[in-house]
Order: sequence, then structure tokens, then C-alpha cells
Amino acid sequence: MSINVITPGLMSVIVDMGRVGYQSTGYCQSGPMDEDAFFWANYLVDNTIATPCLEVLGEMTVVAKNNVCAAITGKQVQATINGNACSIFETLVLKEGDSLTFGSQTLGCRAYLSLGGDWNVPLSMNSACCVVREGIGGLYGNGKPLSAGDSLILKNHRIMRNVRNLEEACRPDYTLDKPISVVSGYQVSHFPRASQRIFTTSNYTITQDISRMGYRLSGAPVKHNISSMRSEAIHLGAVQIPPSGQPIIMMRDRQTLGGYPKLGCVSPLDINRLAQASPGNTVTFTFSDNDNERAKFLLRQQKRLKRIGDNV
Amino acid sequence: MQPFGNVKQIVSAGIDGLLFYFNGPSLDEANAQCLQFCDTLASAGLSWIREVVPAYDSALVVFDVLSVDSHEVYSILSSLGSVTQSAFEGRCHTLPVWYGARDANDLSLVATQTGLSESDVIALHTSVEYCVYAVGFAPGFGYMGSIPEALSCPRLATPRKRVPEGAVAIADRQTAVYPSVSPGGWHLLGLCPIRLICGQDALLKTGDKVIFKSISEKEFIALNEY
Repeated sequence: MSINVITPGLMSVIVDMGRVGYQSTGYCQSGPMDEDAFFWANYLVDNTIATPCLEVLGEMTVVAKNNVCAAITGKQVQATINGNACSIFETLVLKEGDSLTFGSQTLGCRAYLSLGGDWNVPLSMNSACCVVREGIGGLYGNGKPLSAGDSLILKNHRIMRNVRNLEEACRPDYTLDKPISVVSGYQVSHFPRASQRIFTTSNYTITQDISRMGYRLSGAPVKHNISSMRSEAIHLGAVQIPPSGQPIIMMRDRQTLGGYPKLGCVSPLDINRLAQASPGNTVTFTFSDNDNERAKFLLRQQKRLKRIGDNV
Repeated sequence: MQPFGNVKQIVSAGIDGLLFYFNGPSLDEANAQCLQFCDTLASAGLSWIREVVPAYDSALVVFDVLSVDSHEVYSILSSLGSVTQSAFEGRCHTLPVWYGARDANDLSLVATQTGLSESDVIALHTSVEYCVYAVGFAPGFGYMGSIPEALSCPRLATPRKRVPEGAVAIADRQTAVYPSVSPGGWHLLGLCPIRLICGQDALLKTGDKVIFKSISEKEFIALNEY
């Protein structure tokens, strides 16, 4: 079973949950920028969470060479099969020769395509993730995004007897009117109270400078008293403050170490919402308690497991 | 969270991370304490550990938040004894550098900031045997120190979007060579022709020693592996 890439969009990469245990040698974590959309895409085709998906910027077209189940998720995505509008966040049954076109309507936002079955793709560091910056992973193992003519091969592809859909209320909340939660930590105690207040009371605009490595924001500068510090490990969602005072939020393909002071880390629940913000959007931040954010994370996990259980 | 043993401070790094800072009369000593801590964790066989990332005098521990929380991680790690560390003998590398190479030349900026002449900058940078304190940022990127105090200058106010592969750079008391093209906020002194990464293997390992040697453009071209 295979699907062929007709047009890859602006940038389409294979992602899975990323690498575990390689950051000490400098290899980045990687993984889906929007883990929520990634999770539900796999759920909708009855794949395990360890199965890769395609993460797509722009509009992609693929053609199914055999019958296969697929699903499209993401922010403001639209999809058509052979030119006819089809549902998103729902299992799609593609027939041999069907042409599927999909993508986010907003530049900078990502769409995810899952395919029901086991992907026959090479692994680097136990992950299929395509890391362009490192030149590692993806279809050919060399970090190149997908291009027209590429063929994705699936083993054990399945046609589900009961299709699934995710009702509107259960889909990821991509609205940006609620503040992004940050668990304070790292050097936060070296930032004057007034600076911390500026960070939590100002609007920050998403700049054009956003990538899988990090999102640069612009707004009221956040000042601190740290003239220099030793480089240290940067965790997912870390809020870095370079001397310009303009925050940089560190994302999935971030460098493993860095020496800019950090206020803490964006909560893993909110990192997806931020990842799907596009240039020109404004966001606000709030500091949130570690235990509180962990409780929210565990609650979401429980809801996901219940949802999977309901379908067994 | 209270310090314990050689740990002088613990800070939060998200809901699934804790960053440990280590004590030591010198940075070399603190780095050794840090590496010993990482060794201890590795040999303790803790199934919920996802990443241990050492650097200089700190180590980030990332854990599976579905199995443990930060309080439990603290309680377990603070009660682990330390394993005896065998003396680690790193390799010594001599890395040639074409100082002032095109595309990697902040020599005049560094000279202005430090009040040194450009030739003094080069003389000072080649005067020290450096220790690799951490490998990270990008695959194979070795953080080395410490450069002479007189050469210390802060990072760029806004990081560069593109630093060429092989660029030799300084920031604060640190020096490094960029193994591949990447963004970066350090001042660039020149280019090193030696490849630092081959597949998944890195030339520089934590604990290695490095000496820089000044070479001409002609020698650089002859040695260039990129």
C-alpha cells in the first residue's frame, strides 16, 4: 500500500513523537509542533500514538494507490477528495486513485495527515522525525522535506469497520484570547518583579521569525539583571529572553543548550495553541503553578484514554 | 527544594523537568560533580527518566510526568548515593583556525569591546588548553572554556540567523566551533576546516581537551573538509 505525493505544499515533514535520550549529545527532541492535532489524527485512523503523521505547511495533494483510512486535523484546515469537500477530524476512507488535497487556510498554521497502518520509513535515533536543521530523518533519512513524486509506503494498512469522528467540542482549542500558561522556573528569580509584570500584562505579536526551532515574539521588552550566564539545557516551551528583551519560545527542534536567561516553560497543554499561532497574531502570558498545570495535563490524558477506551 | 550533596540549587523546568546546579571551588570541579551525578542517574536504572542533559555546572533531568512528579523526583534523586567515578581521560584535539576568515569575522567588534588589538585577540584565544564542558546546542557542538578574562565579551543583542559551518566563536568565557550552519548569538573569530560531526558521531566529547592553532587562508583551503 502506498500514497504518492503530487504537491508537497510549502513544507511537509514526517513527524512522530520525537527522540528520547539523545539531547546530551546535541540531537534535538523534535516531534509534532501541535501534539494535540497529531494525537487525534492517529486516533481517528486507529493508529498508536507512536505512528508517524505528515505535518504540512501550505496545501498538499496526495493520491492513494490503494484503499486506505486517513484523517486530517489541525487549525483552520480544509480538505477535498477528488475536488469535493470532505470532513476534517473524521476518518476518511480513500479509494484507490483518490486524490486528497488539504492544508490550513492560514499561512503558518499546520495540518496533519494520518494514514491507518504501519509506516515503512527509516528511523534515526528511534524516530522517523525529519529534522531539516540537522539533515537527519524523514523519508530518505537525510532531513529533506517531502517533495513531489515521493511515495509513502504502509504495511498492514487497515480499513476500519467503524469510522470515527471528533465532535467540535472535543477538538483542540486554538483560540488565542486566553493567556498562554507559563510554569515559572529557570532564572525567573533574577527578573525584577516589574519585568515579570510587563511579561504577563503586555500583548506579544508573533513575528515572521517562527520555525520548528523557536517562535520569536515582539512587544514590551522584558528586562533582567543577568549580564552573562553559562549555557544550560533548554526544555520544550522555554521562554528565553535575549538582551533585546523580546521573548523567544523554544519549540520542538530547538537547540539542546543555550545561554539566554529563561522565565520558565510554556505548559505542554498550551504549547500546541502557541505553535498554531501565525505571524501577526497577538498572545498574552500568565504564570501558572507547576502542580496545577500537571493536574491539567493528567486530566487531559485521562480524557484521551477514556475516548480510546470508548471505541474498543 | 533544598540543596543536597554537591547540588547547590534546584529550579523548575516545566512540569516534567528539574534543573540541578552543582557546587565546586572551580568550574572544572563543578563540571566533574555534574558528570558524576549524571553517571549515578544512568546507573540507577530509573525507568521514568527521559533525558539527562549535562552542561558546565548544571544538569536537566526530564521525567515521565505520567509516572512521577517533581516532588517525587526530588525525593528519589536526593537520596541516591553517588557512584565512585573512575578517572576520566578525555582526548586532546588541536583544531586549526583561519582567524578573520570571510563570513566569520567579528575580530574588529571583539577588539573594540575588549580594548585589545585583533592580533592580541588571536594570541589570547590560542594561548589556552580548553576543556569541553558540554556537547549540545546542535549535534557535536562542544562548549569549551574558559577563555582568558580579557577576551570575554557578551553575546550579540540579537542572534544571527545564519552562522557558517566551522565558525569559531566566543561568548562570555566560552568558546566553540559550529559543526553545521545554524543560528547563533556568539562573536565569530574565524573558520576551522575540520569536520566535527560524522553521521551520529561527534568528534568532541564532554571531558576532552582542545587547543586552537592559527593557520593561513592557504592552509585552510588545503585542510578544508566541508
